[in-house]
Amino acid sequence: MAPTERRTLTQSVANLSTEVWRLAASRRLTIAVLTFALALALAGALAPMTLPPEARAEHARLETALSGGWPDGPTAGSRLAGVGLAALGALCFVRLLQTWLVGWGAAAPRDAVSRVHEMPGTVDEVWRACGAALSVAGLTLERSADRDGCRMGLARRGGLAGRLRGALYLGILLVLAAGVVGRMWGWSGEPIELVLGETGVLGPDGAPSARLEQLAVTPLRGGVTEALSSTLAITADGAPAERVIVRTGRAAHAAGLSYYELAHGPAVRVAAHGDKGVALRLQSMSRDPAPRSVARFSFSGAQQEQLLAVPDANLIVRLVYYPSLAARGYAGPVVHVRAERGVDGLRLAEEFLTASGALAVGDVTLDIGFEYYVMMRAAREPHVPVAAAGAVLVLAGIVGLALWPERRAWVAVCGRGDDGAGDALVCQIAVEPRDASAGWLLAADAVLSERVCDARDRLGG
Amino acid sequence: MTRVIVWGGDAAVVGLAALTVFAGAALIAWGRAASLGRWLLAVGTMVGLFALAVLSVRRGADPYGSLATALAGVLAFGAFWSVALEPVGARVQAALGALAALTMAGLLVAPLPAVGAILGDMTYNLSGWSYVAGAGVLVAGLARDAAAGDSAPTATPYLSLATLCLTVALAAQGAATQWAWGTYWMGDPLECLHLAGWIAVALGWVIAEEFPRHPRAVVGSLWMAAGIVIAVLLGATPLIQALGLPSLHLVS
Repeated sequence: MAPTERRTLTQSVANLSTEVWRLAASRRLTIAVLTFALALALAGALAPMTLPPEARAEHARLETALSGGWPDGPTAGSRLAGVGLAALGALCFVRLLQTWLVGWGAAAPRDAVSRVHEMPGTVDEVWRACGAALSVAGLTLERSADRDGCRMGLARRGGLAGRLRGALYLGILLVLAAGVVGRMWGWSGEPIELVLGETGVLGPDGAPSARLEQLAVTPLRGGVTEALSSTLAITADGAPAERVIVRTGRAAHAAGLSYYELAHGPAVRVAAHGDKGVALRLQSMSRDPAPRSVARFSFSGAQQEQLLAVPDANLIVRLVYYPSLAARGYAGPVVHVRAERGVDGLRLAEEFLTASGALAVGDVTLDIGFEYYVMMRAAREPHVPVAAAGAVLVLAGIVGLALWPERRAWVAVCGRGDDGAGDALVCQIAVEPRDASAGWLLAADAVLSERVCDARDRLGG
Repeated sequence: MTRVIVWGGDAAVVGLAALTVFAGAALIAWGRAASLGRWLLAVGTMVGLFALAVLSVRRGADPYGSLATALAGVLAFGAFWSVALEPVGARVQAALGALAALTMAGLLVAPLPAVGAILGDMTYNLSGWSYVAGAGVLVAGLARDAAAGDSAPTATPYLSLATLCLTVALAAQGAATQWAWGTYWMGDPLECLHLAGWIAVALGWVIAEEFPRHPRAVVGSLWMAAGIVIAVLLGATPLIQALGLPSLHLVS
């Protein structure tokens, strides 16, 4: 390749990169990105989400969603969102460089409006005069390049006012990075349902186990729903149990993990007594069949019916939970308890309970107490502090933008190019079209004009 | 499910504040003691908004779930900003004050939908009220634009302040769901709509900054942002319920 061709190619690449850099700094690109993001956000809100049919019930919706019922995996939408987020991250990174590093600043826009002053003196003197004039508008002039006898630079807000704008981009980058940190180093266990006294493992091998030791119920004001405080005994790696209290809507933290109560719902405690008050053994037919004197059952989205056997009394007890049973006149939750003979299924007794109570079946008394089950999940979340720092920086950046709107001026100090003006240099100040008649530019311009006059007077004198 | 607000101390303060705001609006409209009227309007709306916030926390009727709360909040903030931000003319201030007083008083007798209580904590309410504050700024901006009708409209201060309010709203919403469920972003329809409102305001701000010498662009950006934010605030919950979209925020 001939040297001329190589120079032309190099020039073309340089021009292209200048244009790309200029585009990255333009507000019109921001407008395009935000418009696309707005469309994505609206589409994301209104796109139908596929939930399994059994998750249609109001309460089950929460459980299913939080336990992984949302569609996951690489769908076309998630890939598109991923590409969009990556592009947003790249743009924010470029903007951060442009904002905080002078040498990385974008060139003046093509439609920039210029003001030109002729001033006698050396390049340094004229440059200082320009800087002093622009400092009136709160701008700091920084040199970016000296080329072909011209000195070029960018004037913009200095100090905190100038840095805060970059905080916005850094904050967005941190929020995006938090997602990556969470995927790589975070961990989230499977949600488990616990009734009082029950122990469950909060994840795969090596995950801690939790035993629900105590439940305290606090009705919220307005009576809409209850808040529960669950006392969990956490055991991990054979260490002594550590107790944490997890509240509805408030996580607890212990041993580097966070514990969440994702949902709670109805459960019953069942005990059976013989004719002399002797406790009878109970065996669950749908969960752990180990015999016990007190059994507890939860009614979650997928399991609204429970069966237990009382072998000593030849009884099968069927418990069915209804959130409401309008057909029988129950507006609120009700548990249908039905006792059957074990051999042939003959119905012996039944009752609809709306609160704790007892059901007599011959010599046997079934004590049924209304309780709660809780759905717990453990998670390790190294990404949350990163996301929180990002949110704070975004907020700081927006405060900075609101208080100190962006002001930029591109400055070039050059010789005239002809030899008609002696030592006079040309100081060119270019601004974006929107700033062409801005007050700050007029003020800087006036100061510079005054300095030009002073310099000429000095030379004339 | 609906229920009617029970009378209480917080409701009494809201009622008193509504009377004060109405008196302020009347004085501004009368024109004789407009300065006193503006003071009454500003103080009345601030006290009323504080009482509304307390009431919404105690009754589980946050602005995201209760149309009446959101409407009263937006108009009260709109009336406050109309006095605090920029003089917008007596008629606008009086009209916004009267509307704020009416909606605040109306809230005391309106049935409240009992949704959203699952996250009825202070952080989630901060989110809701910040969103309402942002919508109120935009209402004040629209009122100023309608009253001034000048060839060089001012939208940037309103859009920038609204962006700030909505950023706080999104951050607080993320914090509330993080503390409750261990995830600050779930892609929930309500979250997506709130994000859409934030993007609309930010977009309006950038447009207003880019084209300051094009009045139609400036005014259009303000109307676009205000339209989307207010539609999201007042219409998101009914829309999600009408479409049957699964939103964790609306599980009652």
